[in-house]
Amino acid sequence: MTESRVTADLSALDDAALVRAFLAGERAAFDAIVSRHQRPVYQLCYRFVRNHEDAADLAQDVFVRAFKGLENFKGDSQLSTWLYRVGVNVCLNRVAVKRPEVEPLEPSRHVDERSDDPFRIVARGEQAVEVRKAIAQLPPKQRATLLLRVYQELSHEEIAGILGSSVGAVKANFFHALGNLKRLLQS
Amino acid sequence: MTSHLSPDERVDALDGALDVARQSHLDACVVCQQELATLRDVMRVTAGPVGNDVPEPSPLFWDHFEARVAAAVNEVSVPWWRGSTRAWVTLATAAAILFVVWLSPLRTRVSDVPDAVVADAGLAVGTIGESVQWEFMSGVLESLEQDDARVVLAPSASAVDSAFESLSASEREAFARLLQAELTEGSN
Repeated sequence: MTESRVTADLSALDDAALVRAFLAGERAAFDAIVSRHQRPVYQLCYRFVRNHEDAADLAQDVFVRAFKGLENFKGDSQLSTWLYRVGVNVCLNRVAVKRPEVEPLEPSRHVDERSDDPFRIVARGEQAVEVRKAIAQLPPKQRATLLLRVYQELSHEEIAGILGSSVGAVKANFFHALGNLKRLLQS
Repeated sequence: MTSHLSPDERVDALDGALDVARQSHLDACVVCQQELATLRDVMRVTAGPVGNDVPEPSPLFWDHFEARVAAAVNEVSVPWWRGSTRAWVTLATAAAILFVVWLSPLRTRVSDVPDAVVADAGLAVGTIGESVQWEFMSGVLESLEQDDARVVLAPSASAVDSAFESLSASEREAFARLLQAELTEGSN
């Protein structure tokens, strides 16, 4: 069987089957896992550090840790949730030792500039930077909770699983994160 | 008057998942409504397109990233037990070789047993020699399947008894003499 055929066959498997294949010694199954989950993992990391180079480094670290620790994945949650858990830990460790650099003021790349006047574009760009700066100043757990809830759109239960907290603690963190953001944005 | 919404309940209200009884409090309480409106404003600003922006990397980045990860994990030592099936077979084969080598002293020292003893047992010195052992070994190597290897690695407790029971009376007698000769030599 050719390598491309093996890769194609593996990409048809669901996450649980890929994990089983990897643990049985099928190294290519891990490549399929990386290929499938690299984008959300990178995006999670980017939201923590707000720059491409660090996000790529962190995302790589997430997958290396996953490679070493995948036998600990019990299958009682989605593989994506488990990868987020690894990712949040990697990112929290990183931001604990290095304050994130906020990117320079520039308009969002996703804004359709044809449909907006330049003043609004600049105002939106400034607002984006302010929001990111405020998020970067949140305590780590509040920040992680906010990013996972608002941007990764995970449920409180999923976030609780990722952070190893109770659902009540996640809701409290989320509430305090919004309160702190309000204060930071007003100042 | 019931108490104002707790932080948990305000988050539930943001999610539209507030308990019916507490929803009726919210509907009637201006303070809680204002608190909730403020939280919604913060959410709107935070979750809007300006706050949610993750620039898409170059299309080439993803292929490059996969290669990066592959190179990084190749430097990670894989636990010995998580190797390929081939590694298991190799391990089992090595164990089988060790097993046969461990048994071989009983066979190679047939020549040390007095001729009379061997003759009594109906055996001829030389019929079980190095070549026979290696023939057996190569046969094992050629025919060894993974499952067979596991059987070799984990023989049942009664396997030795069964093997002994399958010997004929003369073979048992010869075995006893060989064993006695080994013990005698070992004590000298």
